[in-house]
This record gives sequence, structure tokens and C-alpha cells, in this order.
Amino acid sequence: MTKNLMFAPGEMATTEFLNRMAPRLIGTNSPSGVATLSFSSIPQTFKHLLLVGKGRVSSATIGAGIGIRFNTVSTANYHDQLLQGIVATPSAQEALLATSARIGFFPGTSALSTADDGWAYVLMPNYAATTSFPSYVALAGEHYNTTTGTGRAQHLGGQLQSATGAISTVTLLTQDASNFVADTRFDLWGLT
Amino acid sequence: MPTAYPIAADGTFVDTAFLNALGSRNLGVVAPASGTTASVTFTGPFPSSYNHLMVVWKARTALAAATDFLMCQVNNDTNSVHYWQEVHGTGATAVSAEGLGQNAWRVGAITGASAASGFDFGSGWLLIPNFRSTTLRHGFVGSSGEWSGTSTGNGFHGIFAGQIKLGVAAAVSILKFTGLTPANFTAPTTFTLYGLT
Amino acid sequence: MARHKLPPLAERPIAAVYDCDPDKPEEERLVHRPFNDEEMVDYLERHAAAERLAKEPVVHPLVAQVAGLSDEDKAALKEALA
Repeated sequence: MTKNLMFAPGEMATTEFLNRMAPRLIGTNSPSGVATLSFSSIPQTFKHLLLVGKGRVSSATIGAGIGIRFNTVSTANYHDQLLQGIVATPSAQEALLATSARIGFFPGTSALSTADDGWAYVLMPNYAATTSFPSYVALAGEHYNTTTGTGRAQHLGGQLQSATGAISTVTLLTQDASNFVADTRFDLWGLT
Repeated sequence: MPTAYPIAADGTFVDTAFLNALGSRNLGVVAPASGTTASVTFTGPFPSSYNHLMVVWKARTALAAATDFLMCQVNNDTNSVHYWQEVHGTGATAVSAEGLGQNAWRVGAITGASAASGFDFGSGWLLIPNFRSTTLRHGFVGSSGEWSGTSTGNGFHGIFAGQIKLGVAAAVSILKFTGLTPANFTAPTTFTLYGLT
Repeated sequence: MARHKLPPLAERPIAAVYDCDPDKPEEERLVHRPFNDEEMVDYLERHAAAERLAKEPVVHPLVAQVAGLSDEDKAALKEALA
């Protein structure tokens, strides 16, 4: 027979109760001047992970690709596939056996304004599975100036090819080894 | 561990209706054991407190091929009413495709038994906005992809969208997922259905 | 793999790590720390790769598409643009 616990009025809901609500913020990270940011000890009690990011990088260029790594694996074992639209031109690009997989593109200091940024929405379905490669799909975009050809809309997807196992750590980095700048923010949710 | 439910201030027991009213919620998870089923179906009617449906999935089948497509049939309608469009990247090539008057939507890309590794799975999501409408024909948007090997061109990632055309508009009450060439799903294939407020 | 001279800790980039353990107090979760040796080697290699890439010519996607056309299509495009 199932026995349900009862709470006294005013008592805080338990983690177990909260875990039944979706989505739930696991953590947030607002780096400035950091080269990588990570979410570690990710609870394995959710079904899927959702990561949302928005920010800029310190590159003295139009910007840099933002990479994701799983479980601190930094070896050249990530694949990603990009589908992108710039102006009226669709294009595609793959990366094989790279040291991180792309989730988007954030503007650098050559952007028109310090308020120009990029954004990314990353879904990691069934992240706690132990017999499939960690994988993701992402939607991303940025617009770094007001002239033609300075915006992009992207769909990305990829996986870590070398190691199965649940995702317990997610690391974000800039693919050109620049830093994230102030007001950059990433939020991670667990979907129950 | 028993499921914990809080109680309201007046001492009444919190029930499913209360949970439904709180916001977006997991309506169901299906994670079939390998070799047990070639289709995963969510049957409603889905709670009327939600406005939209979202499915998040990771899947592979036992089809004797490296890849396949994930199809979604709405309301058990086997007539030629599902229309879809997708655009994806594979290697350095952007490709798009459409389906007219089919018995299911193409909603994603999955792997089969011949994928390079037994750990290669397709994954994705799809959203059906305003699923309770009985005057507007239903549509979906989603994205998905898979890597079936480690060579160039083995990746397939893209955006999918579609609509039910023809027939009478009715609330979405059944969603059935299969491979394009139906074959048993392989564990840890998982489909999760969410109601969004 | 090339050997890298690793800078002292005080001169290394910073990693921000958020501990998602629900039992950890919120105020203790976000930690900023310098890169460890493994992260430092990876960082230097990424930096070197980025510098190599920056020196390569940038090809506009439209130019890349035209380059991929057959000779026949290129001639037709040239005629249309004339």
C-alpha cells in the first residue's frame, strides 16, 4: 500500500516534490572574465537537461563559437553538425573529432555595440542514460551589427563519441580560448 | 520511496488536479525495453489545463539500417493528412525535404541497428502549440539529429515542422511514434510528454 | 602533443564552476578557481589552433557555394550576372 507523506501547512516542499515539477532550475552561472564555466554534480533524477545561454566574448573579432563538453572530457572526441542561415544563404558544416562541440556563436569586441550578444538554447534528452553517447540539439543565433550578413540563425547537434554514461558535468567554453564577458549568463534546468 | 504530496493550508490532500494547475508538467514517460515494441503512443485526452504539448525524446530502432526517420501520427489518423517540411545539415550540405499527404509527420532522425556504434542514438524534441483547438488545424515544430558513425556525412541535424491538413480539426488526443520503417525500439529509447501552460 | 610551459597559478585563466548538488548551500555553490594543469594545456592548444585559424582566408558562404558549382553552372551564372 502506498503511504503518502503529509506536510504541515507552511512546511517547505521537499526536493522530491519539486522534482515532480518541470522544468526546475539547477544552477545558474554568470561568468565575467572566466575562460570556462561548468555545472558539476548535476542530479541524475531528471529526465532531460535544458541549458539557455546569452552573452558575449572577449575576442577582438566578430566573435567565437561556443563549445560544450560533457563530464570534463576534453579529448578530440566530439562531433557536431551545423545548419545555418546568413542573409539568403543556407549552409551546413560538420566538425569531426573536435575537442568540444558547438552550441552557438557569441559576438566579440568587433560587434557594433557592447550590448550585442548571442544566445543559445540547448536540449540534452535522456541525459542520465548510461548506454548511449551524451548528445544534444541546439538552436542559436546572434546579430553583431546592423549591416547585411551580420546575423545568423543556427541549428546544431552533436555528441561525445568516445564515452557513454550519464551527463554529470557540463562545461561551456569559447572555441578561440577567449573569455566570457560581464552579463553573460547560462541557466541549466532539469526537466522531470 | 513513497511519493510525497504536500497538503494545502486547510488540510486537504494535494491531488493531481492541483499539480496540473501548477504549471508545466510531465504527463508521461515511455522507455520501452529492447525488442518489445515498434511504436510508442501517448493517449489522452490530455489535461485541459494545458495549452501546448511538448515531447522530448532519444531513440534508436532495430531496423537493419544505419539511420531512419522518426514519424508521429496524430489521433490515429491513417489518412493522407499529415504534411511536413524539414531542413537539415549533413556534412557541408544543407538539404531540405517535404512530405505531402502522408499518414504521419516526419519529426526527427534516428539511428538503426547498423549505426557504427551501439551507443549512437537520435535525439530531439517537438512542440504542438494550442493542441486543444477544434477550429485550427494542428501543427508542430521541432528539431532533431543523429550521428550514425564517425565519418564525414554521418551527421544529420535539422529543423522539422508540419501540419495536419484536410479533415476536421479536432483536439490532439493521441500521439503515436514509430520509425519510418517500423522496427522495435532499442533501449534506452525514451519519450517524455509534457503539458505546457 | 607539444610540451607547453605552464604559467603560475596566479597568471592562469579562471574557471567558474557551479556545484549543482541540491544539498549544498547556495552561497557555497559557485567557485572561481585558476585552471589546473590539464585545463591549462588544453587552453594553450585551443589558443594556438585559434591563432592558426585566424590566419586562414575567410570564405563567405556564398563564395563557397559558387565554388561548388559545376563549370556549366558557373558559366550560366556568369552570363546571368553580366
